[in-house]
Amino acid sequence: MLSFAAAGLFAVAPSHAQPSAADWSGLAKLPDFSGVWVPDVADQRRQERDGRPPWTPDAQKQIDFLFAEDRAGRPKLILDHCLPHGMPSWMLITHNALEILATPGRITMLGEGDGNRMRRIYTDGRPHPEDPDLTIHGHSIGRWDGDTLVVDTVGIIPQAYVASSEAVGIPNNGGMQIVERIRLRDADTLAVELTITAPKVLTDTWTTTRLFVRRRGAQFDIVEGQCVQGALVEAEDEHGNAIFERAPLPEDGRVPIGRPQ
Amino acid sequence: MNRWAVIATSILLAQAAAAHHSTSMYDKDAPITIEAEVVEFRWVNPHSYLTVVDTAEASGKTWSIEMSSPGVLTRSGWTKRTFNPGDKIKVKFGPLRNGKAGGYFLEATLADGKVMTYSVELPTE
Repeated sequence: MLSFAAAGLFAVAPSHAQPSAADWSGLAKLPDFSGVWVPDVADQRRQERDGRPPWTPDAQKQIDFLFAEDRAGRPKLILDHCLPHGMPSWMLITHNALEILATPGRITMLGEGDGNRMRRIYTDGRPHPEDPDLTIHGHSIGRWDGDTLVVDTVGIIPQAYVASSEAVGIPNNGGMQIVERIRLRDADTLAVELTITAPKVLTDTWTTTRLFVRRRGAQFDIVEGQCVQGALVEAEDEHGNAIFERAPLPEDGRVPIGRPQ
Repeated sequence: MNRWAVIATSILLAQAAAAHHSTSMYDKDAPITIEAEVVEFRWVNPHSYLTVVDTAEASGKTWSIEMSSPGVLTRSGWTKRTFNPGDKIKVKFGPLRNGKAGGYFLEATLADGKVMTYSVELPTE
C-alpha cells in the first residue's frame, strides 16, 4: 500500500484500499478546509455585475434577454425544477452554506437548500473514468499544488446551467470542463477560482473566483433542505399514516417548484 | 391534522406555492405594510412562507408571503416558532406585480415589539 505526504503533495493508498493510520494523520498536514462555509453573497453580486462570461453571440443574446426579463419583473426561474444547482452554478450563485469534510483520499462538499447537493472530489490519485456517467456535479479529481487543491471536473450533464444569477443562465449544452483552484485566502476565507471551458456557450475559458467564509457557531450548522417538500403538504392516508400529498397548483401566478406543470 | 384541516392548509398553500430564487416578480420598491394575524408559517425548503390575514380589512384578505430557506433564516436567528398561528404581527412585504395576494417578506414586527428581518449577505458571528 502506497502512502506518503511530502513536499505539499499528498496521496493515500490507491482508491478503494483501506486507509491506514498514516493516511488519517496525514490529513493534519493539509490545509484545513473542514467546516461550514457561507458564501460571500455581496461579492457574488459584484461578480455578477463585473465578471461577465465570454458568451458566444447566440448565448449572449439569450443572456441579454434574461437580464431584461429579470429587470422587468418576469424572471425565468432557471432552478425551478428543484434539482441541485449543479456545477458550476453551485459554486457561483448559491445563497446557502456548504460543508466540507476531509477524509483520506477525498474531499466531500455537502450543501443545503435543494436536497442533494454533494460533490465528491477524489484526491487518491485516480483518473477520471474513460466514459463517465454524466451527472449534475460531474466527476471530480483533485491534487494538492502546495496549499492549493486543484480540482478537475468533467462528466457534467449538458442541462447543468452556467449561471450569472438565479434568473440568468443557460445550459452548458455539453462538453464542459471545470478546473478549480481552491485555497485558504486567510484562516477562514476560502477562495474558489474556477476556470470554466464550455465550448457550446463560451468563446473562451472563463475564470472567476468566489469566496466562502467559515463560520463555526452552532447557528451555522447545515440545515437539511429537501426542495421538493415545498411542493407538498402534510396529510394523512386512510390508515392515519403521516404522509405527503401534492399541494394544489397555485392560483396567484407564481411558479410551483419541483413538480410537473 | 384532520381532513378538513388538511384541505384548509391546501387551499392556503394554493396561494402560497413558492417562487424559487429570483424575486423580481415582487415589487420590493413599493412595499405594503399590514396589521395581520398569522394563519400558518411553513418552515420549508426551498423557501419558507407565511400566511396571514389582514386584520384591518373587512374582507379579511389572506396574503401568502415568501421568504428565504430555513438555513438562511436560521443564520439570521429565526426558528420554526418565530411565527405561530394566531400571532398578531405587523408585516411589510413587496407585493406580487401581477396583483395577486402574494408577496416577498421584508420585515415583521412581533407582538412584543421584536423586529424580524434576515439577510443572505454575509452574517456576523
